[in-house]
Amino acid sequence: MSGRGSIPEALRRALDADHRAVRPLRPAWVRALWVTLWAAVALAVLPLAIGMRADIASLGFALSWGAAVLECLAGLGLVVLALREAVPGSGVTRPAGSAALAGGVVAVFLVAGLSWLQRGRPAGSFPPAGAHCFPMESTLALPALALTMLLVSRAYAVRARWAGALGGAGAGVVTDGIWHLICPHADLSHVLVWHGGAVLALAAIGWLAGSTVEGIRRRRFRDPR
Amino acid sequence: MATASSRDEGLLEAMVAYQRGDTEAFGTLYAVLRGALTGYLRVLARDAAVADDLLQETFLQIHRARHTFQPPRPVRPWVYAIARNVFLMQRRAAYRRGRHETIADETMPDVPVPPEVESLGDRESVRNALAKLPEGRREPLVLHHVVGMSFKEVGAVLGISEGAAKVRAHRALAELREAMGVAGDRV
Repeated sequence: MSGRGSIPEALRRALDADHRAVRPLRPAWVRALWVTLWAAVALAVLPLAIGMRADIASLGFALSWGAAVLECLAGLGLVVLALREAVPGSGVTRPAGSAALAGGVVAVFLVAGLSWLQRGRPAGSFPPAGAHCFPMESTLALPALALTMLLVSRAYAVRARWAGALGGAGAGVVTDGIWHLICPHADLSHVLVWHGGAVLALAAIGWLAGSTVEGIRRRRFRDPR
Repeated sequence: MATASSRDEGLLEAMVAYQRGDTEAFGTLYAVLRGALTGYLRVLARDAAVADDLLQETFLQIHRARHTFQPPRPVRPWVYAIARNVFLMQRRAAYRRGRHETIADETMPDVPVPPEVESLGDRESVRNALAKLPEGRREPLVLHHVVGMSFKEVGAVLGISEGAAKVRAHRALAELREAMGVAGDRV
């Protein structure tokens, strides 16, 4: 049964060209530790470097640092799902993945809503002020997004677009957790539009990155017909 | 005859050895997986020649992606997920190049059929009934009843839940029996 005699010649040549030992990928949560490390450093450094929001004392510890950490953990959960999705045969189902994506967005809105209730401020006008939060948050998320995409690309995602969207949303939610400690805008509509928009934009960027990977793989694919 | 679990353990051992650089172990994997994978790819592609070519491409992709296999996870869901992806890439490539030949609904090359319906008619009529099943139900049926995967493994290959895989496979089997002239409730 064993032996290489029955292997077609072209396949044998490919095997001979690269038969080095490989180290199996570590579990998704272990690989996600790189993004966790980035999140921990960013959480410790960015609010101090850019400046904490003015009303942080009125929020209390639970709704400031506690909410930020919980949001980061929700985002890291999405990153873990993205890395799982990148391994053939171990991805999440579409309903579970969709629920996780929705859960990430809900985490952003929940933190914003609870903070807004705590301060008792008006919901704000539409379109809301503070559009600069959208590019700021998106830009700050780029290292986490790049790291996640690098980790995804080192695997073999059979649904790369899906893995990319999960990873992008994860990077966005992690960054929004950190940005929650910095953003000076108190109105609810601001968070819903500009912060939620940034998370969705990052998910879309992840989706596009996944599409690009799938496109490259398709172009390299030798159609046997 | 090897049982499913002893066969899976053998596959796992071969896969781990292959990751360590043992090319003889790749030969073992090829020998063990080739037959069932060819059948699966024939069911997907509905063309024996295309399926045979896709088999080689599948093993090439397995070779390139061998680092993504994580022991002690089962080998077959990983392998079949790659095979399915190779088929989907081929189908998209064919569409892109404008070569989307229409396949008559009733055609199906020589493929293994579920043992539950094998005795209900001649092989060709079972294959024809199999060909008429919707793709979304045919795949779980073949993966469970022909390849011998658990529903959890079928779900992992197709990206659906274990329950959805079970429902689809049972519906497909009922439809198949109905097409063969047997009451669906006897499944």
